Amino acid sequence: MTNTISASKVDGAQTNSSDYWLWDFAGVDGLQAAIALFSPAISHLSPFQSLTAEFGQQPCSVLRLCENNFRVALPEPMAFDSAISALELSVWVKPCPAATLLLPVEAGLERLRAIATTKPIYTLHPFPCDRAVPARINDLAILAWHHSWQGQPRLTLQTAQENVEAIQRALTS
Amino acid sequence: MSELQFKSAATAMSFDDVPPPLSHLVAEYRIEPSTAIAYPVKAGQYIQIIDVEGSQCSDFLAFAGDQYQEALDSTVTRTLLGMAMPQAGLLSKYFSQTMQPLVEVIQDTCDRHDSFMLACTNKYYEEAGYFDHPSCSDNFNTVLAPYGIAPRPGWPAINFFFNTAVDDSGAIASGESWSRPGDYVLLKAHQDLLCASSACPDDIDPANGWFPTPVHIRIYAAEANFPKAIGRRAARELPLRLTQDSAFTPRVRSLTQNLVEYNGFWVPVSYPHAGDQAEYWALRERVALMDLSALRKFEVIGPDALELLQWTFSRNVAKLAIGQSAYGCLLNPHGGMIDDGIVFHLGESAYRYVGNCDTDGLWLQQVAHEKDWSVSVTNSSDRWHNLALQGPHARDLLCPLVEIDAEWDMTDFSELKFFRFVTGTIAGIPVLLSRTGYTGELGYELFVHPNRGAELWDVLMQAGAAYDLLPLGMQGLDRARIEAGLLAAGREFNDLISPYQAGIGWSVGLKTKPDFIGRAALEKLRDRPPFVGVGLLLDSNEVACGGQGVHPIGDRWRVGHVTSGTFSPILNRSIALAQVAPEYAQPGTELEVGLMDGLKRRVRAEVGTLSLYDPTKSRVRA
Repeated sequence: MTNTISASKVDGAQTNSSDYWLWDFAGVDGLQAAIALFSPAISHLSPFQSLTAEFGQQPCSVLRLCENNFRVALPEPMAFDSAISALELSVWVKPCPAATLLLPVEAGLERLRAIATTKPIYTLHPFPCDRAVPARINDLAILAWHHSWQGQPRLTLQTAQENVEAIQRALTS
Repeated sequence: MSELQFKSAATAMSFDDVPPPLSHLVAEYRIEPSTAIAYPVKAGQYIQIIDVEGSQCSDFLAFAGDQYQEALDSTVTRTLLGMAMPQAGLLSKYFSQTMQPLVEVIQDTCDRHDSFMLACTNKYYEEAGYFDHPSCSDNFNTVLAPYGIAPRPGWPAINFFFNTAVDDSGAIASGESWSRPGDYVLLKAHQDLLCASSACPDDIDPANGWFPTPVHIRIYAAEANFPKAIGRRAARELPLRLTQDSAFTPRVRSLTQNLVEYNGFWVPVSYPHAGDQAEYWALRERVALMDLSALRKFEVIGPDALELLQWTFSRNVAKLAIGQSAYGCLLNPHGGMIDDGIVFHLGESAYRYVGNCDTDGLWLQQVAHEKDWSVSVTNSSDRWHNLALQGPHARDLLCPLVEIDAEWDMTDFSELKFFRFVTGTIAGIPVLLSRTGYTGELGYELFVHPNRGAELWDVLMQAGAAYDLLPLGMQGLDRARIEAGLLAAGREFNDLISPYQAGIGWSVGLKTKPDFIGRAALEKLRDRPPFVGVGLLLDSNEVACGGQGVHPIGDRWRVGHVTSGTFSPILNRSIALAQVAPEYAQPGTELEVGLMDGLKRRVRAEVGTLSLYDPTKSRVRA
């Protein structure tokens, strides 16, 4: 499990602990690995789009970060690195070290729009499901991910471990 | 103030050697030749740096902070932007060492500057044998001293109008400035700044055309509103052209801020929350909409219109019925491609040429004049903006919307064949509908007067919702056109490349029409062009770049080069367009593409048809 963040307040709503395990994989064969592990539909994703797939008979979310870079969210600890290795492709895999904050979706989206800034090519207005947006809160980098998780919409913020408290303060102040 | 002539708005002085102000002036300064000035600018205000007489460099510094401790940093700027120099548009800001934006380029009529070199230094002149020669760096030291800014032997400045370029060996070459009298850079200050500008004193090399001249600075209020624009010059005879919006750009801007300058227009790269791949798949599986108004349109009208086009265009235009069009190219006498485009046969003696360049019209006019033909060639690009609606559902989407004009003897729009067009209306908006495109997919191009463009966009976007239509940006379009083997100017062809080399030898009417420009050269080139355009299927997921060498397997020498590369989502392969020697152009031939330095890794590639996706063109003809 990547990180656990204590419950905190976002405009009157509660954040909860992150409850999934994030893995990153990338390389010249990154797309082919994603197609092999999940679905050819992966190739339909643009960077910062995601879809729900299945890994080890468990539902998971796959986020495309770049042409050949992906982040996958798993519901429980699984040997994802072994699955990548078995493909024998030119791809590295490692647990994602980012801290993850779980936000209530509606309140979180509203709060993000109020306090986060993006580069002009990205937007939080709108911020549909199965999309991620790189943004900054008080100049601290976050990756906001709005996606479907076990049939429900979910909003998470991924950030550097050292930024967690400051981000939480910004979300709740 | 011997070197500094200042005027406020209240005490206006007249400078009749520079173009009129762009807006209400806050302040104005004249920098005499070989001097420099320092001046304050408030956050939000605009700085216009004008080259008064042309060919004159003006180095620029900016400092923020209460102790002027934060300065422009070109290395930070290049790194954050991924560009050698900011340009008006999305990647337009100059940053400080703390990665804060200090100034932003709003307009630039020269677009050739330097950010690699210091402002000129005493050391430079001394080492060339010139002592006590003024330098920009020394001049900056003098004007910055009153602000407590420590002197430096050389200032890392933004050297506006300084013409430098880094060549393949890494050498930085410089030459005479490209700027003309009145050329300017318009900057927006993002913080309260102390700025310094010079009129460079360099008279010992061509940088300032050997004769240093003045520079003019104007400051405009923060309330002013200037559109972002880059100035381009297409020909000596044509005026400077500033980047413009098309009729559809306001609608595009409401959906994305990711726009770039392309051929004089602001065009979308991609749209947020959709993106390159999603837009591409909308095109291939459903329907996509894109603004192609950057194409240039020329009306060719008169008794000798056909003669002119037969003489200049590669196809046999005489075979075109009214309502029919043909893709081909304008040729030069040695068989090179001036441009590619489509000729539309509009009426008895009326044609429209749609291409890429403003100079196409000049060429057609020149030929008509030399031949003393009775034909007028007028640029109608400002009267026709165009959308491309492309994808397998394009016809289904359009059919219920289109009312074809009675003169066309056709009522059912679905009967419109490939390379045919009609006029009509969509929701009451007059349009010319052409079954053509640049995607390798069933599709149409819709030409409309700019006054009705936004309306047309809205109608199509609304009707497209039922088909999950997405607007398409340039990134997605580039993938599609490479898959379909469609040429891009500057990549697959230029005026030194024949249609045989580019892969469109089929468009040359050697057998179907009498003499035309370039015929003699093309008859020779037909039998053995130096290179032939092909498609390549790479045995790797790495994407090849334009210019990379193509080699026989195991050989050191090249047989061609890649012109464009992409990863094809629909083929799930890395693909490329390449031009290879004819001996290696047969489909199925195994070759290698040299990646990086051409030695470190060679990737096997199989030669295919130019159009690797749907090579029989069954989809566009469907």
